[in-house]
Amino acid sequence: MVYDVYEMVIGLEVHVELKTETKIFCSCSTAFGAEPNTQCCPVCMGLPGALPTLNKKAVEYAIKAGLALNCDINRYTRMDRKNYFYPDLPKAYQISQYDLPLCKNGYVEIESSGKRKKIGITRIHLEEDAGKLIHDADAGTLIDCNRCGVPLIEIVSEPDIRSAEEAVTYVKSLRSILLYTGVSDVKMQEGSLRCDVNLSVRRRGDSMLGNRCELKNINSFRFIAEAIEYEFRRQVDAVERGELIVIETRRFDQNDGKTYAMRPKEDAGEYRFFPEPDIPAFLISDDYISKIAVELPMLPDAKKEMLMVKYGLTKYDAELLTENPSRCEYYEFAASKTNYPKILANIMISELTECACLPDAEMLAQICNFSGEERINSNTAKKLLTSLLNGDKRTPEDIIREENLEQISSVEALMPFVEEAIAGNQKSVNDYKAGKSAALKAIVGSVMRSTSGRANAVKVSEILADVLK
Amino acid sequence: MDLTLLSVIELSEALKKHEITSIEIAEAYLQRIAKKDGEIGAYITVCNQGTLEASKNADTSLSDIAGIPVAVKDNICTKGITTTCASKMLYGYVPPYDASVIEKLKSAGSFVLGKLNMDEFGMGSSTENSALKLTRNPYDYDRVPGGSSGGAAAAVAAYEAPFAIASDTGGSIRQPAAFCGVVGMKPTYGSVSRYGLVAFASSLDQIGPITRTVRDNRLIFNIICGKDARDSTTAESVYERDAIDISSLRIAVLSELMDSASADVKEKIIKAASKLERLGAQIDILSLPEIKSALSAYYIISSAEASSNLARYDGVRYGYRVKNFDDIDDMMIQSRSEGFGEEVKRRIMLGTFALSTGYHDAYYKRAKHVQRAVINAFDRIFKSYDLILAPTTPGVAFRFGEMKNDPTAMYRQDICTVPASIAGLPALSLPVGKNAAGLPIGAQLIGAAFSENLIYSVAELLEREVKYCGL
Amino acid sequence: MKRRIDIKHIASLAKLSFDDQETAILEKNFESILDFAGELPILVDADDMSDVLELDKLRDDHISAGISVDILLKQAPSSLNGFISVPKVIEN
Repeated sequence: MVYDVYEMVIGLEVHVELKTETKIFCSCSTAFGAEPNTQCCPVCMGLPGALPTLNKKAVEYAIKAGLALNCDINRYTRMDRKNYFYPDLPKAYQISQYDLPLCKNGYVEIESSGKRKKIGITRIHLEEDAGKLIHDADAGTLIDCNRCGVPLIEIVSEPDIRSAEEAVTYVKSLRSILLYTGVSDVKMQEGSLRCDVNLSVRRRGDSMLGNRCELKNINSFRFIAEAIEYEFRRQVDAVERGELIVIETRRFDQNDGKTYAMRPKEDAGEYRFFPEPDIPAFLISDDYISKIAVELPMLPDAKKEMLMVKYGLTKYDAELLTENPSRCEYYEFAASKTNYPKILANIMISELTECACLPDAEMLAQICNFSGEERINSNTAKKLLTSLLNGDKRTPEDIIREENLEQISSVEALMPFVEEAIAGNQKSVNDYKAGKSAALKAIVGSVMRSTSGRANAVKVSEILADVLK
Repeated sequence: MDLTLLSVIELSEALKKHEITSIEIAEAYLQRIAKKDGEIGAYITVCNQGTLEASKNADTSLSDIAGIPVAVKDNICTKGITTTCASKMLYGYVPPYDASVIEKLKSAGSFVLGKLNMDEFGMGSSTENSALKLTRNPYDYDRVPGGSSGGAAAAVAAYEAPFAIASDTGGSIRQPAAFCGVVGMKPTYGSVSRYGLVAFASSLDQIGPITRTVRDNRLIFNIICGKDARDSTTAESVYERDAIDISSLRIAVLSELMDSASADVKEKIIKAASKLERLGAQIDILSLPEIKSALSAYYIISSAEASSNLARYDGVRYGYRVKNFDDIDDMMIQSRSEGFGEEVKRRIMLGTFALSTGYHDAYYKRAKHVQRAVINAFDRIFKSYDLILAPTTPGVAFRFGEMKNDPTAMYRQDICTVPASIAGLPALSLPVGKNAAGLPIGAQLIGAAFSENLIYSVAELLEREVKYCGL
Repeated sequence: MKRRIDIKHIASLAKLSFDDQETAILEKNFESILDFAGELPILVDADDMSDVLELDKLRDDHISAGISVDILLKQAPSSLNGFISVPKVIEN
């Protein structure tokens, strides 16, 4: 396959909206979903005479993100103007950072083909978001400036990524880490996490980088993979045909999974950067960084390790449970109330993944305890869980008592049911005695039914095996 | 008693003694404007109704300017009152907010008399670049009042306003003040909030008062200065030295600036120097060669920042938008090309060029280095000297059209004022005499950062000695 | 240093347009302005760190009211249903 001769070289630019109350340069609200142009002021509207004032929290959050991503924090840093015209840019310049970004030289560790790999982060800088444009056939283009000035950090990776899978894993890891820091909601569908892909190809073994294309309009993990796969093939095909790869920006089309060249902006890249005169440069002290570092929560990788060691969870289970920090927090709290954290993990992973509303942790812990102590079987556990989720206010203890759900495990209690089942399933009994060990299942099933699911299935199998010897 | 002839302090005293009312002041000025401004053309907007209303409700206990109206250069945002920057681009634009200085003046009990003519967006030294009207020098109607705050200086000189606030980027307060025989101060960069001042060159713009007396100027400055949370470039003002001992004063005169001046200007500066010397000050002539590149550096830096600050005028959210266009690009290009005047476009082009790839280092970056060198040079001087005395302008007010064909001739008008601008230092111009034709000549006092108190004290002394007679 | 200044290119960056006559005048202006701006001396670069912002003096993250949409749109040359409108932008 010709594609195997080539490798893809990928760098990602990820924009993340910071979860501050106000915009980066003014005190307008950043709340999502307001009526157009109702969260604006002279500053974010770019009215004559208005001046920007930097949001303290935005700087704090950006540094927090940088520390969580293992970056060096630049002690002397400043904002710069990036000048270009576009109707969603009120000042006709974006206040961003050019040559003195807030953070640099970081990394994220991901797993690729079973091995740990570091994806380098070149830089992280602060900037303001632009407004939203809606294109209407009749009215032209409509502009909403509510999002103008929402604080963003741009995270630029080194071109260390070598497959679509690595790219997706990298973004997922980034997302997870940022969720833990609490600096952003990182929701791709809502636009608080945006991903642009830079991709070039080269023959395996080459060290020179090929011409790269920037891919835009990718807003889900699936599309990241699709866009990369398509673009890789497109570039390899072109190289094989002897064509030059044009350095350009391409738009990913979600409908057909292809990338299309965007009309090149005439003076693209001619941004005339210069230091923002309205915001003096700032010095970040070691003290300030330490204060933020101290407030950093345990991050997903460390959390995963911890859960595996402390509760004996598998790597797979630990990974699923640490994806989301609030779910993880819930797990840890519930786990502290039960002696059976593995059962708890199983229940959460199999029964509670889609659950927007998690049940009372103490109640769930109780269910796990009863299950672990074999006072109830897994059927009953599921039943109790359902009751809890449906708003049943009784404790699991109460429900078990009131509805007589206690597992039947003793030989004396089970014997009558076993004998009844043997009597009623002669064919299965004969099959079993004839050597078909699988026939036991039917008899066990019979016992389960006659006990309304309360029998200890394992015990029943043991007794049957004994009796039918 | 013609109230327009009184200084702000005199008006304030009379108000406090209940000898006059704010309404009388307002009426006097409105009448004067109605009578004179047809000839002089200082005002773009006169707030007839607003002034009378406000004067009725004036609370004269609020401050020493309470009950006294202010005329405002038309690049300072006044809520509800059109603010045009003398440009077609903002013709009819009404800001939805007051600049911080306007808020301060209003809290002090003053109110807006009207908006004053200027060179478009602050670019010019004669007010000939106004897209809206012509302003004449009250001393000679065939001559310019200076710029860019020509309307402000002319209004104050012609008794059409008790005081004005204006802006200075490269000399825009001081030069017209000198041409019109009034007092103008460009404060230390960062001492007065720029929030609400339509930006020209962000790292150079400053708002300052234009008045007929030095004491009036000091009064207004003390009210408008101060740190503002809305302007990150403002600093906590630290003003040293209340009383000065003139006999211990060391004043430098810069030879490069003296050499740039015409004979009649030089004569008056030397006379002023002698007066200060007679009072006990020590005067030395020094050379500051770094100053020679200050003017070029100023034009590169200010044009570069202006090209960025004026990019927001694209016909989208406010301001001038052409009626017929092919697409949005066309709309922006045409709106800007029609909305801006020639000088503004020229500076935007220069600034865009200076920042563009391939030229950024040779022009913009180098200009910033020169700026640093000038700052350092001044720092060295102020280690041994308290003040610098210099001409404000190379000559007296010139005739209309005299500089038309050569933009650089116009730029050279700023040669004496630009050094203090790029160094961010406070500089005041006060009238120190007239030439043979009766045209005013101004002297400039430049001090170290935040030395406004010292500058005002020495200026008051000089003013007393010179006994300049206004119109 | 003789420069060949591309007036058209700069004008397009600045979103301005000039007719042939204006372009000719500009070219002449540029020559004289740049001569005047001329040979700026090359000096030692020192990033002045004296005017820096103190981090704890930055703005607190508290919401305050902006300007109402009606007032904002009053200044807009063209608006529709709360949006500012411009001719259709081709994003491609």
